[in-house]
Amino acid sequence: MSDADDAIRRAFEQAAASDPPVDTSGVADAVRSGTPTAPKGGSWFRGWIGGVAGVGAVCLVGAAVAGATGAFASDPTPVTMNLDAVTTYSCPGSGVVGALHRGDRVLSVAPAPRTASGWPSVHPTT
Amino acid sequence: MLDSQTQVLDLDRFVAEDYTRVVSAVARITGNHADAQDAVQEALVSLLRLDRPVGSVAAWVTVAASNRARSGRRRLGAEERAVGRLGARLDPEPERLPELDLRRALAALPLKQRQAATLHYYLGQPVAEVAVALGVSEGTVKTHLSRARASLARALGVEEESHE
Repeated sequence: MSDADDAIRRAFEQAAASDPPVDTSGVADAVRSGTPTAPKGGSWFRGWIGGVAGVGAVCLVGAAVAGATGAFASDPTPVTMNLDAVTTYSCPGSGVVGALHRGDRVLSVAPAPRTASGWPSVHPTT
Repeated sequence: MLDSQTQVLDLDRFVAEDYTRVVSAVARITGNHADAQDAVQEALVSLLRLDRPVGSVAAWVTVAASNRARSGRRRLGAEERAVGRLGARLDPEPERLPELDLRRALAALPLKQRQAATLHYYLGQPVAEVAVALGVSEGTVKTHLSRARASLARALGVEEESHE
């Protein structure tokens, strides 16, 4: 085995070590039933917005995350959000309604918890 | 090296022992961990419907999942540009990290080379199993691995030795 092989293997292991944790509970049953349950949300990642663009999209993503978690999501640590319970999202003010795409990432948004009056307002902070 | 399928997939065992590593493998290829989880589960659903053995389950699922995941190259490109912009703002001389070098280098490789390198270097699959999983000859796999090794070694700043 060459130094290059060793270095490549180590780089793969280091990259994998930085992956978010994987929840394997329920995976086997979901696969058997033919209804995969992998998280539909993206990773909370301070730095950029991927897959969507524009203020409306920022609002959309932020609302989706807040609606799914029911919490104030401000932690910049990469976290996989489970959005199974939420399929439609709206942003008061912009009126954006739609779905969050799997793997979308968000940057500098400050979503608030869902309220009795509807979906939360979110405030892009970029 | 991960286990091989015989006739019937032991799904519980696969999930317990191999699932997380296969998701990581697919994430290396596609560039997105959440997409990788989706794609791996969908590949497992497809695998359960197959009526033939597939050799290495880990290799088969990795290839099937990475083929079905959304375009990793496009996503990786956008992400790298964004990460680069962020890094430029936060740290004018960012530390060089092997995982970032690997990520950039993988993103630049053709899909088959990414798959072959990930199967071989991360999942520990021998050339013969990589060939079965990719549906190509062992010679083709060696070519993919040779080219991928050269690119990855260069990206990691390692001097490549002649390798057969």
